[in-house]
Formats: sequence, structure tokens, C-alpha cells
Amino acid sequence: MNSEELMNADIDDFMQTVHAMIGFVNFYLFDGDKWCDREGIKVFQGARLKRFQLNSEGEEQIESDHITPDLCIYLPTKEGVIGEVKRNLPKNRKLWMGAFEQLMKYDNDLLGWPSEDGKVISHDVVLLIHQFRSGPLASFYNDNKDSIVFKKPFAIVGFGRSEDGGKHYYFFKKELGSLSFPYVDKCLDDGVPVPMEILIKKYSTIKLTDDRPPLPYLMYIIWEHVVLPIASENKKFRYLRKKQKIEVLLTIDNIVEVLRKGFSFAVLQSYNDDHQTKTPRRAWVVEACDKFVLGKEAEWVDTKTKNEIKIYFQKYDDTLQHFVKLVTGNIDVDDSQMLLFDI
Amino acid sequence: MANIDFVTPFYNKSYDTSGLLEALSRLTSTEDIAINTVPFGTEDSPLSLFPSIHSKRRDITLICQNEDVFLFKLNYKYSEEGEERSESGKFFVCNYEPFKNVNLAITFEKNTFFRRGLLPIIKSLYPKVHLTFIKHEKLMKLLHAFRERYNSLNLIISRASLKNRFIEKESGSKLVPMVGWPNMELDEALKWADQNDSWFQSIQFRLTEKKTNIAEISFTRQGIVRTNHLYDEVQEFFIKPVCKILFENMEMFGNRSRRDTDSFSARPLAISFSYDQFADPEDNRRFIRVMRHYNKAAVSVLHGNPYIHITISDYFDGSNFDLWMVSPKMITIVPQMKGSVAAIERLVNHIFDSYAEGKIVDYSEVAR
Repeated sequence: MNSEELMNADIDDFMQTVHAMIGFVNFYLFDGDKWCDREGIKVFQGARLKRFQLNSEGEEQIESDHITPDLCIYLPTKEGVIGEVKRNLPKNRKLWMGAFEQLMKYDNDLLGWPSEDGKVISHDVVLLIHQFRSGPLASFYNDNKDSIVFKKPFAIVGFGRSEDGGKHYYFFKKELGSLSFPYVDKCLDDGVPVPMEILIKKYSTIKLTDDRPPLPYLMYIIWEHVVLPIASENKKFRYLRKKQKIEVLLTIDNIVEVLRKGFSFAVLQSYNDDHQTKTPRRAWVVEACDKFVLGKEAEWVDTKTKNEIKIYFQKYDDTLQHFVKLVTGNIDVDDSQMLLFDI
Repeated sequence: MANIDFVTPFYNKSYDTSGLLEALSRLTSTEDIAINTVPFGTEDSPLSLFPSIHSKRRDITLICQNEDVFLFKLNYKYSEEGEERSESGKFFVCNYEPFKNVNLAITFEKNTFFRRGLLPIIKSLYPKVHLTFIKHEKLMKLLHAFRERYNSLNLIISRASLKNRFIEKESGSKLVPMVGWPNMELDEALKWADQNDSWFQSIQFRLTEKKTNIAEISFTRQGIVRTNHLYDEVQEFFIKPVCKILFENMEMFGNRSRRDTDSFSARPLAISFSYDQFADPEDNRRFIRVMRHYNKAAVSVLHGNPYIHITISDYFDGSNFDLWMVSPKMITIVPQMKGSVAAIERLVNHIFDSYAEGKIVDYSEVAR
């Protein structure tokens, strides 16, 4: 595969993982009888949870460090689920222990849940990973049970795409372990195909997660969903020819907020706390904007603070592939005089 | 004997919508003129749309207004055989009750005025002004219903423009536009279209009785009608149904933008087909080719096989969509923060026109 094909494969891999997270969350969130999301269930990312324990005098000792799992689900029964999603594993199996060490950090009482006291009665720990890797990972777990010990319910759930009669599904199956929610545990025991068509609304609205997206993909999302809407308000927008540009002034905070509110897990009934890490991360957006600047598609207002950016919107036939080519270095950067419309 | 000027008194009279349509009907029964009628949808008032057209080459002024009926004058310049020429004419715009936001632009000036002057202006006002699309099946039904009304007369298709699906070995199917002068009876023409995997873009036909022409009518997939007689019947069998389709589409396609909801939730639409459209990878490739030819838009293919996920950004008004094909008989369209009626209509029309026609439904009806 050439560099563009590899990048496109990486983007596809990223989106599969997002779809898998949405699919997994919906085992808890979606009421199949009423055909709607259940009330009171909170799904969130970027939570900063702290481990705590009671000392011999029954006092809470809270650790100063926090952990940030990929996914948290809070149920109205004051129970929780912590999910860690792995897109890839290192080729060297010896390094797989790192994944379990991270998971074992979640295997503690945690503070920071969206309950009154910030705690839950109990929570499950789940590792979500592509089915090609879930089997080998489960074998690794079984071979290292002395070192990998969970006190709380723990499960490895594999996912993959499948197709039957032209209909497309994401298939989920528990590779090992058990979960506290009996319906979910039973479903995943046998394996369950989730039709993609019932989750299309969520696939379309949740485009970003707490996992760093491939750079061209983030650039394309910013271009289409932050820059273009503002450019389209300009009365010259519909008459813009190729190579002609419209200047759009944005702050990084504004870009982050538009994407967070409209294209992250925040669109679900969720828990939004000031202590949470926002998705997308500011640093990722700055990196994407740096790339716009390098590609002569933007200019920092202040190169030191990098708070504000002037983006020169122009029309592309295929926005995603344009940024794939830009990032992989397969595009000539346009040094020609920019033709700006007067705003 | 001097010609009687029927035009000036006609323009000097004041009409409401029903009065205007009745007067036009009387006009076609007594005078040798043809009326062009363009049904269009808009949320804007004609007063804010048409008089705003002022440029070196064209200029519209309001002559008079009575309730929802406006009479405008259009002056425009055009080039012909290297020479600059100018032409002017008048046209009415009226709201077509009871369909909210549905209007008619009507003129009985020369056809050149309509083709060179008025119609391009109406199209240039897109997306504020949008025409509709009539599915092939519906177009046939309208023709048949009209034919039933005049079953003692002959209905001869004198001219038709079609799209034909042409299958090439290497590159799969291609859409080929065709213009023909079949001079066929309606049933014969429809049969030919079916057998040749074609569908009509526009159709011109005449009603005859014993070799005498009763009326010459043309009708396009966008609902534009031209007739020289029987304006009453043309209203009933063509204009009114088109206005109803326009209205129903606006209702179906309206309020789909995510930014219109508190929680930014999506309100998808679905196009459902009566048979499998995405049975094999060649169907996917064909659909992606069709979408790559969608003009004035950015088209990004996020996944092409075995399911399809495409995003579209409309370069007329900045509307954004996700398109999904995850089951063989359905396309799901998810409008993003902005998904205007005009943009949705244009997208659906492109799919119907260039790929296959289906039934448009709200996604909630098919999601189970």
C-alpha cells in the first residue's frame, strides 16, 4: 500500500473503532422494546477519575493522580462500566502486559462519577478490541493469570464487521469474563450482530472520541463542519471558483467547542463536567491548524500564542482526500497569489 | 382588420390567484398564445426576490401587486450571432393556495423570453428558490390521468428528452441523455422507455381529434408546464399535482438541520427501494461514480465496500450530509448542522435522476 492508502486504512480503522464504541455503549443505552435511548444513563469520555480506598480508620484516602479511561457509562442503579478501547496491539506480545496494567488501574474504587457523592456501588472493567486481536489477547490473559488479577467484573469483548444478505452489522462477542448487567452479559456470551442501520444517527453525529484521530481526518472534520458553515454565510460563497478563497477567522477554543458539542460523545445524554478532558484535545486542533498553515491554507494571527487562526476556505471536489494528500506529502502546496474575495 | 390588443387590458387588470388562473384559462381558449408556468418553492416573498435582480444584463421591476399576485417586468440582454440584443416581457408570480410557500411564475410572452430571460433567472435564485422533481412513475401517472380525461382524443408524444441506462462491458452502466421525436401514442412511448431502461426528463405531446390539434402541451421532470389551450385542465392534471409534490417535499425535507434542535440530534431521511440496489460491489462502484458526478459539491468517500459511507458538502448553501448504504434496499441521508430543503431536494433529485428512484420516508419509519 502507498502512503495515501495506508492513511485511508488508518482513517477507516479509526472510524471502525468509533462505531464499535457506539455499538457497545448502546447495549446499555438503547431500549430495544421502546426503540429509544433509556433515561438516566450517562455516557462520557475524558473523565478524570481518582482511585480511593479506606484506611484502617475508615477514612477515605484519595490518590492525587487521576486516570482517564476511554469510556464511562453510568447507570441509574448507581453502577458503572469503564471501557478501554484498543485499536492496535504491539507486535511484541511481551508489551501486551502494559494494556492489562492500565486496565488494572481501573480495578479500584473510583471517585468522579456523575453521582451525588461521586461514587458508584460497583463498576465493570471492559476491554474492547477488534476480534482479530481479542482471541490472542484472551490467550495472553489466561497465560498470565498470576500477574493479571481483577477484583471487579472484567471482560474482553471482541468486535468486527459482518454482512448477511446485503445487510451490514457490527458483531460483538465476549472473549472472556463476565459483566454485571445480565442482559448485556448474556448477549455478549452468545455474540450479537448489531445492524448498522439502527445506529446510523449516532455514527453520523459522533465523529470524534478521546482517541487521537488521524490528522487528515481531523483536518477534514474541521474544514467541513467548522470552516465551511462560516464561509457559506459569505454572499460570495456560491460563486467561489476553484483557487478562489474566503477568509474565515477562528479561535482554537471555538473550533474545539463546535466539534465537542456537535461531533463527540457530548451529543448523547451525557455528563459534562469542567474537570473532564474535552474532546477533541486542544493540542490536536493546534496540530491540525499548524498543518493548514504549512499547506498555505491558513495563517496564525499570532504564531506565539496560536490562539487565533485565519483559514482560507476554498472548494475541493473531495475534501478528505485533499487533506490525505496534503499530510502524506502528495500534493503541491499552492504558492500562487491567493485570490481573496472581499468580505 | 386591425389586431385586437388583448395583452394590455389583461395586464392592466388586478387579480387574486384564482382570478388570474381563470383569466389565463379564458385567454388560451380565445387567443393563439402559449402559457409557461413554473411551480417553485420559496420561504421568501417574491417582493424580496425578484426586484433584487439588477445588473448590466438584466433588470426586474415590480409593476403592480394585488394580495399574493405580483406582476413584474423583466428587461434583459443576450448575445446572438455575435450581436448584442435586448428583450423585455412581463410575468406574474402568485402564491398557489392552499400550499404554503409554493408559488407559480407564469408568462404568456414569447417562448424565447421564457427560455432566455425568465427561466434562467428563476434557476439563478437557487437555493432561495427551488424547483421540484417528478419521479418517472409519477410523471407517467399524471400523463395517464390526463389521457383518461381525454380518452376520445389521440395523445401523441411529439418530442421527448430521456435518460437511457447504457451498459458497457468494461465500465458498467452509463447514463446517456437522448432527445427524440417519436411521434408515438403515449402507451407506445412508455413501453419503449420501459424496454430500453429509460426515463423521461421532459415530454411534449399534442392532443388531436381527427388530425386537428386541440392542444400542444409540454411538461418537464421539474414540473414546468407549457400549453396553448386547456389551461384549466392543465392546472388540474399537472400544475396542481406538481404544487402538491413541492409542498409535500418541503414538509418532508424541512426542519432537518441538526442546529434546529436543542440537543443537535439528527433527523435522517431514507430512500427505500422496492428491490435490492446494493447487491454486489459493482452496484457500490456505480453509486460512488454517480455521487462523484454530483456537481457543485464536495464528495468524500469514507468507506466504499462492502458498505458505503459518503459525506457531501453542498457548495450552493453549505449544507452537509452523511450518506449511508448499509442495507441493500435503502439509502439513508443524515443532514448535519445545516441541511436545507433546497439542498436535500437537489441531492435526492440527483440520486433519482442518475441512479434509481425510490420512496422517500422519514428514517424513523424504516429504522426498526
